[in-house]
Amino acid sequence: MADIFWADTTQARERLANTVVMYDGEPVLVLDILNGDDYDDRVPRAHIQYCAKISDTPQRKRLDSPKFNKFRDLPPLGFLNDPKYGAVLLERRAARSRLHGLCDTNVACFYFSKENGYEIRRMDGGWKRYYPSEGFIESCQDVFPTLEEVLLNIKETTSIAFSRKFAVYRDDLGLRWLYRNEQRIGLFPNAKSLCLISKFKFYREEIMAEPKFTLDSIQEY
Amino acid sequence: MTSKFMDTYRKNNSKVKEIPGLKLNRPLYTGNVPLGTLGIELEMEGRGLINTDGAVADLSGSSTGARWSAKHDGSLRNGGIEYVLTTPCSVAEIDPLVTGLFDKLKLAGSRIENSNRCSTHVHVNVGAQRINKLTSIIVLWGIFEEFLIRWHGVNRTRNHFCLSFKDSKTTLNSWLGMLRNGQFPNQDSGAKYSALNILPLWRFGSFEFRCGQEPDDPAKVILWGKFLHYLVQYAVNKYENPNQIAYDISDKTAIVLLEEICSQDPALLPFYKEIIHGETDRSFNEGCMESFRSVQALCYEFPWDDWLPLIGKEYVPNPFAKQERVAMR
Repeated sequence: MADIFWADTTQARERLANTVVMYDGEPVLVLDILNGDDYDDRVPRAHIQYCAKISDTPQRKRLDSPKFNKFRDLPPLGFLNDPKYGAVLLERRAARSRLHGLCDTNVACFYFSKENGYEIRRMDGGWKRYYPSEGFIESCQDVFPTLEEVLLNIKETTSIAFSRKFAVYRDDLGLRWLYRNEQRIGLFPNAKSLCLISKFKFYREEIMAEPKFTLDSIQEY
Repeated sequence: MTSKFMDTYRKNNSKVKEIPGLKLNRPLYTGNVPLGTLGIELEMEGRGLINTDGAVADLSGSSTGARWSAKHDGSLRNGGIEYVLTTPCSVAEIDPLVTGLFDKLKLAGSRIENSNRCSTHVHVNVGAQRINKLTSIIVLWGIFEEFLIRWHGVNRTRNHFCLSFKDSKTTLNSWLGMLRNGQFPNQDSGAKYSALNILPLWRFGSFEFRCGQEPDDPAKVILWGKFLHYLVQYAVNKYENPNQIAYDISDKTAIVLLEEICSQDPALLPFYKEIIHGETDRSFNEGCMESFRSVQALCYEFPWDDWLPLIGKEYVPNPFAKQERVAMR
């Protein structure tokens, strides 16, 4: 019997159908699990669609493929960039569910609200909107605009992420704020330095370790 | 004439900012704290598993009276039974209780055939601890969590029934929310499905560690239970101030901290070696440091130095006050 990781096809379907997992380093939507009895090798198949090519014809992949890595790899979550809402934050939620892969039940989505200044708000149904998006694929591939580009180009009351963990929000007064996930932790007084809010100065080391943070100067206030 | 405003201002604002609606010296768990420290739940599947309490009734903790109870669990299949200790056992009792249960199963001709539905959950009694030491336990766990889950094998890694801090911030945000706003974690938040489940604190006075592997081997269950006991003991005895952990992980390094935890019982030294197996000192320390960063807000964001004298005050419940706020939402 092939090692499909799950106890049987029924369990695999229960855990994976209509969720997003990684296959060969790319996020894929599992449409269904197909019974192995229909194949000469008796190995069940995952009927999958690449999130990057959601309108293409789905493909069938052996469930025991090492490219699934026993389903231990899930798409990395965090900020992504969306043309309409700017920086959008996807966060995994622990939830009572049989589903192993990512789906609406276990991923919460947040965006910067124009009405509420620097508060970020939950977006209902955000996961379904974003998993097939270009922004999500780029985020999975860790592709973001550089911090310099962001600081120079960001418009008032908009936000842009420069990594999965960090984003810049420019408020209606023109101030550029640094966000670490949903938390506002610093201010960019200009395009060359960051002023960390005193309460969050302990993030300095983490920010310095972030390859996408390319400024040399961090002050504390 | 000089303005006296700043003097008045400083005086008026010199009071330590506490957690809204939460007395710092009030224990979060207000029930009776049991004698034992470890509550164990073993989820098993197989053929002919003992399914009555009577068949395991003669196994009993000598000092705590802890016994096994066999329960049917809806999440298990194929004759699955969950063996649960009726009351927490002491760390000295874990060995005879767990070994005794496996011996009973063997004698009864039971055939254990665990699947990925099975796991080991360990509750560690923390009911007597206050908010500072509970926070220290969470931070210390968070530092080693990834490596500890890895020890339990692929079935428990990224398992959606026991997510790590790296997988989901649900538990961390719940605790941070309490420290920031005095808001107790929502019992329906899904935080239960975390490797460290903090929710039983308000009900049983315990933290539940849910990432234990399927109970195939009694020796591993015993090792795991002992390790968790000593991890909690270490945090409680050493870290009155959670902030100190941040200094120690930088100063001593994570590998030394783990060694110190495991040195509390010689039986844990092989466990220590298994945890760091395949890692260099550097890769282990870097991995732990990365994990620490996900929980560092617990150490740094709050004025622990100012809070400690308030936390240390004796708590005297007011017998005439209205019923105190119910801990769970």
